[in-house]
Amino acid sequence: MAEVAFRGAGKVYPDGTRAVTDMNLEIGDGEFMVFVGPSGCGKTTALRMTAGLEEITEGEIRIGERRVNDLNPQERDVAMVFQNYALYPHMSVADNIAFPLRAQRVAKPERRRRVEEVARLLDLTEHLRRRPRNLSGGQRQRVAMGRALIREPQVFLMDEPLSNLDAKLRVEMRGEIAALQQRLGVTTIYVTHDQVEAMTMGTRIAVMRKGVLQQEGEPYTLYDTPANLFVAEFIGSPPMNLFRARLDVDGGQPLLALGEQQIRLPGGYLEARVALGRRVGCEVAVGVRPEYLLDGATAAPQHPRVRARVRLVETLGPERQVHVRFPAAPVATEDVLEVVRDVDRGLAESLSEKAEQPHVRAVARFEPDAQVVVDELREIAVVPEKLRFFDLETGLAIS
Amino acid sequence: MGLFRYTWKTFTRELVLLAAAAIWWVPFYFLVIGALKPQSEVYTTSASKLPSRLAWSNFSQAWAGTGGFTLGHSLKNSFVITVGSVLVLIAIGSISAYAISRQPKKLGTGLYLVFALGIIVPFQLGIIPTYVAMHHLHINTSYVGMILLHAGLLMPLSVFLYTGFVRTIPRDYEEAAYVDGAGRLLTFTRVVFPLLLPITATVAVLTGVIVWNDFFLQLIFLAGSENQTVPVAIYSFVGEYATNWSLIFATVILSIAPILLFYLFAQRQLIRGFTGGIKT
Repeated sequence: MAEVAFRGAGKVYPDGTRAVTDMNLEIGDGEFMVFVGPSGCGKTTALRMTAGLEEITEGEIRIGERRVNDLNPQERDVAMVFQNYALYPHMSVADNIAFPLRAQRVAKPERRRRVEEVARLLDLTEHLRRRPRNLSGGQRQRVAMGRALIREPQVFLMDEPLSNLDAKLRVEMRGEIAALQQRLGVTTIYVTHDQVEAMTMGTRIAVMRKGVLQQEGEPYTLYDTPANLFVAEFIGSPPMNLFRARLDVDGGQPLLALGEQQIRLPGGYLEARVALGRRVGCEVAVGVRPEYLLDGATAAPQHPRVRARVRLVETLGPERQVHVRFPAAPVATEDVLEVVRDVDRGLAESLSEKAEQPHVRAVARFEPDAQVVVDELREIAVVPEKLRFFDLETGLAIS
Repeated sequence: MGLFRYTWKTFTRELVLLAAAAIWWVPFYFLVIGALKPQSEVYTTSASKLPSRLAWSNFSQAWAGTGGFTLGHSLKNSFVITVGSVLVLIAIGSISAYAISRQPKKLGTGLYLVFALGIIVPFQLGIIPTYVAMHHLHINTSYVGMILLHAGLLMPLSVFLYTGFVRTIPRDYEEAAYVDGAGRLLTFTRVVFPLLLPITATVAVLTGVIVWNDFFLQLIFLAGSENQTVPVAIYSFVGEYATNWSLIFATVILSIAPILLFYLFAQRQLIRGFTGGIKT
């Protein structure tokens, strides 16, 4: 087991394409670090650089005490689970799992003992003689895990290992992998484009975009205080509600002017947020998580209210997600559009077209028994302490 | 089931295909009746006419061979040279193709073209210098010499076939092996080569048939030597003034038997090799 450190690590392909830029990140011993980001953000490249499958063209990567830039994959003492598992199709499950030991010239009896041990751990004992093609997706996934585990490597590298499974199995395996990692305590780097996977599995998350590390931290830190608009939009499902507003002060009281309506902020709000205080009179991007847009009928009276028309109600059991037409202009900067584009290209286009409209779609979380009627004009309470502010030009958070 | 598995359409189609396939049996018909005809009838009756009696002795005479070497001896020579050449073609062809297809694109394509050229250029142009060189090395009538010669001439074909197949194999397998701690050699022998089994069967059959049936090179290099192969042995029945067709036909039947058996066993792998891809 070991720490992994990226020090100014970068990757430029011979044709000049830049995949990773100046990545600085320290991953502690035994930590479960998740690299997350939309497709093409450089997360898999960063992982492959750690494995030794891609050359590190700038900076360095250290595993434990060793600088690994010039080491072959086999010298780095890492194990990797591939997206499509890469199980050797001509070998039985047992031979697949034993392959790393064979490469290390471990004697046959010892190999057999350890294969059986790993098979027990992963519930594969009865499948040891079968070929990978005769296994289900979940079983293949476990064989791939087994092949990684048997080495007892310093670092586990996992490249979207759950993306080929169906939704139910994915949730199940998510828990299993996280539990296994905790039990073994092996430093793990896990790559995914699914932010839910990142939030639920990682002890820390690194969000990447266009080869640049955007923010790293514990899942809730990223969720609650995103460093920029990209992270705000990317982390969380449904994502953070974003809209534009002008920060004003009226008779000593700060407020957000949305157009026809206002959100009145409590006294002392700007004093507690010095950088924001300097933006009075300017337009800023405002973000608020759905759970801080509440039902005006039941929310605490001190929270400011906004009237919005209900467009759609989704009943999810423990809550009702109420989609409203929020009376403020949308944020359609490139940061936001890129995330939206990754999910739905058409939506991104319509969002950029609607950039000048005076309303934006927002999601609020109501109590499960709240009475809501589609098309009614409803009061939405905003929790001012949970508003997050971003610069419209740079996309960076304003603290 | 029985006949009822056919519809009119499939029945007609199968009938037409069977009729087409029958055309391929016509030479066999001539071969078999020619081999069973008494020598006196070969020139006196029509080639398609059935023999008046079956002359099984043709086969024993054919087996006895000529020039002091039995057909069994020639079959052994053909077998050693064919198997030896095929093994060299598989061993070197597969590893070369692997190296070529894992090079950066430009270099890989360049190397590939060099081998492809080898298929196009007629080797007959260089046969005299080759003979002289092999004669000086004292390997012109030996097994080693023939194996080297055949392997060298067919290597472009082997590399060409292997390269096309290796390119369809995802790199993930090799990368997994590297990360699992395997070096290049172990990765090739344990992971890549087993995945090449279908194309290996194709290479083995195609080149095996070419070497087994080769007449030109074997006549030039082996005629009169104790290492003469089956085609050379057959040719020895062709005299300056008379040709013993019954014995030639009988020898041909005896000599195609082994290769036919091999083809029957390897047929499935062969077809998979042609159609490409691996099952994961």
